[in-house]
Amino acid sequence: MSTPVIQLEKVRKSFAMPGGGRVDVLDIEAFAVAPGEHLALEGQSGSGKSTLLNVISGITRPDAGRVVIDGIDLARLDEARRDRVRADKLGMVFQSFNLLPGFTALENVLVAMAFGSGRPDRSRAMELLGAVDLGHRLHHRPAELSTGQQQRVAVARALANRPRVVLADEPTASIDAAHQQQVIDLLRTTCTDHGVALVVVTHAPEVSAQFPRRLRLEDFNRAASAHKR
Amino acid sequence: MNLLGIAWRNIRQRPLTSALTAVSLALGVALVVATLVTGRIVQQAFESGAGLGYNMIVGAKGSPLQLVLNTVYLISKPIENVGWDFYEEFLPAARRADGIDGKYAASTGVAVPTCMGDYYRSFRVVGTNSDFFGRLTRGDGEPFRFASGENLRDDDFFAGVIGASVADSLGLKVGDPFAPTHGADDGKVHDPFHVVGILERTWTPIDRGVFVNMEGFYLQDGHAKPLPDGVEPEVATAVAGDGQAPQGPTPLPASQREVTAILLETASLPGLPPELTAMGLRTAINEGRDAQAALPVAEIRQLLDLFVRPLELVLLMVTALVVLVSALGILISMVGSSLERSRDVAIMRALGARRGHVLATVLIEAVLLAVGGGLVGWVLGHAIVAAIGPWIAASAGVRAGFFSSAPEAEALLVPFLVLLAILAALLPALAAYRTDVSRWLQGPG
Repeated sequence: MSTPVIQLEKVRKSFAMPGGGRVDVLDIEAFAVAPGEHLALEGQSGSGKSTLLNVISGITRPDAGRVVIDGIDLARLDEARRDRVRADKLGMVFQSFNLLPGFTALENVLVAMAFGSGRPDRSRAMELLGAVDLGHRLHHRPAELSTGQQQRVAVARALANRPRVVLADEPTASIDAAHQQQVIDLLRTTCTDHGVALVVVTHAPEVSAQFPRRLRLEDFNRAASAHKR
Repeated sequence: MNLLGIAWRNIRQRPLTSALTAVSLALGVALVVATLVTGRIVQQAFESGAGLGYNMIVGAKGSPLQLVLNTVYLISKPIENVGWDFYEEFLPAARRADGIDGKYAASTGVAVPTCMGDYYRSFRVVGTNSDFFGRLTRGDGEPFRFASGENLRDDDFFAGVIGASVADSLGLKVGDPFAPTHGADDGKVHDPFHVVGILERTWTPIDRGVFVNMEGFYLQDGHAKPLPDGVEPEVATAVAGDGQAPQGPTPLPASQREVTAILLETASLPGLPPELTAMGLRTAINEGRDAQAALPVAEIRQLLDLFVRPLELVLLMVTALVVLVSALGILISMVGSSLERSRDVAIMRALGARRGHVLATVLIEAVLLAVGGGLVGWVLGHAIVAAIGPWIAASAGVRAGFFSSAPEAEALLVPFLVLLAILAALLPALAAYRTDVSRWLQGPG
């Protein structure tokens, strides 16, 4: 197997409770995603899905363990460098799309480029939006786009800096069933076309059922399984 | 898209709030600019009036500042008059009836008498002679120039020369008659004079003056000095001094003449620098009982230091407070939008923006608002000065237009605004800096 694009070893994360004491959220012995792999992570509410994504993206630092992204150990980096790794190596697709409302579709993609190592490339941004059939909506703001179009902008934005992995956090949670399949198809097709690994976090079994590799968070996150017990 | 572009987008995202913030700042800056420029114009007015080709004014004892304001700026009231014989102390033998040098003649380069007290409409009337325009200068060292007509002639008793503002305001032309009034402009009407010359604009108080031949001035009702009881009036001597009876009106005898002020250009005594000659002359006059000598430059400097500059400073502080309140508008606007901003900041951080990026974006946004509002305010401030320029020109005789400026102070405006904007935006910028990404983008898991 080639070097994983995401590799977690002995990762632990706990949070302080308001009333005192701590609660364990992550306790993962090992977790890896291969280049180009498409993976669905299933988990119920409170299973630590968002914390895991934050740890992988370097937003949250684990209490212990290694988080390696495309060969770079995040534990050795300060926050600014972790931010740079996130910008360069990871593409993020959020629940509710989380587009910047004051920016056009094109600008939403260009903003993501502004934080990466390369220079913002307008023609590439237009190309990415064209690839998700939004070439005619470049200068529309999110409020002027349909739900499906917004999600496509989010996918194009995730690919702005040629990432190694796209992390999608509940991308179908806030859309109707008719659009869910379109979103999953779009993510998988686009990531395949760009040779990018895809990790989709979902609590919907019908979504995870479409992925070649499925993992339940409770199965490899000992903290989640402990809660369950 | 760089941080500047992102900041600009953020501003456009909240057009109404941003516009109101910028407008409030613009109004504050406009007030500051108008105050600074007007202050500078006032200062220029005083400074230009203090260099009209003479360095000393001699007049009746009293306030030296009043003497200067009245004589140079044609404002305030005359103190009193001094006798003609005292004026003659500054004249050389050739210009005196007794053929002997006056007491101060050796220290005097030019001595021009002026008589005041009359008005034509709202403009001051100054009785003087042709030396005023022939030997003095217009403030910038240049000789007086006539837009039309010519200087006073000593043999034309009822000739008048008017300043540019008077001509513009009253529409007087060469040859037009005008009758001054005694004292206030609603006082007794004197005999008519006629305009023989209209001066080119000098941008000094001269523009607001009506200058008449003092021989004609003396002949008006109430202008002759009353003689003591029992003293008979002298027989007037011919102006030409040729022993012939003069043609036309008879000049007022010297014993009944007075002058309000004498404009002096001092001369250097042999072996003495000009400053020392002037100081010596001033001391000698001030120690006497007849008159006082004032140095216009020193009096104006004192006036500026004691009154104009502190007033300007107070005005500036008030307007600076207005700008500070406007800057608070930036703070309020940004704090008000911080909730909305937090989500945007969290999105940008998740996309890879560093904390420094979001901090800089908020600060740049504030600086853009401040500089944008400031530039609009700067233009507006100059437009205000341009709008009141004609009024300033008419009432103060100084040039005031869109391009009038106070360059030193105005140059500090932009750095001041940038600093102010940064200070105002620091709080919301730090809030953005500390935005908890996971809190704002947290999913249900």
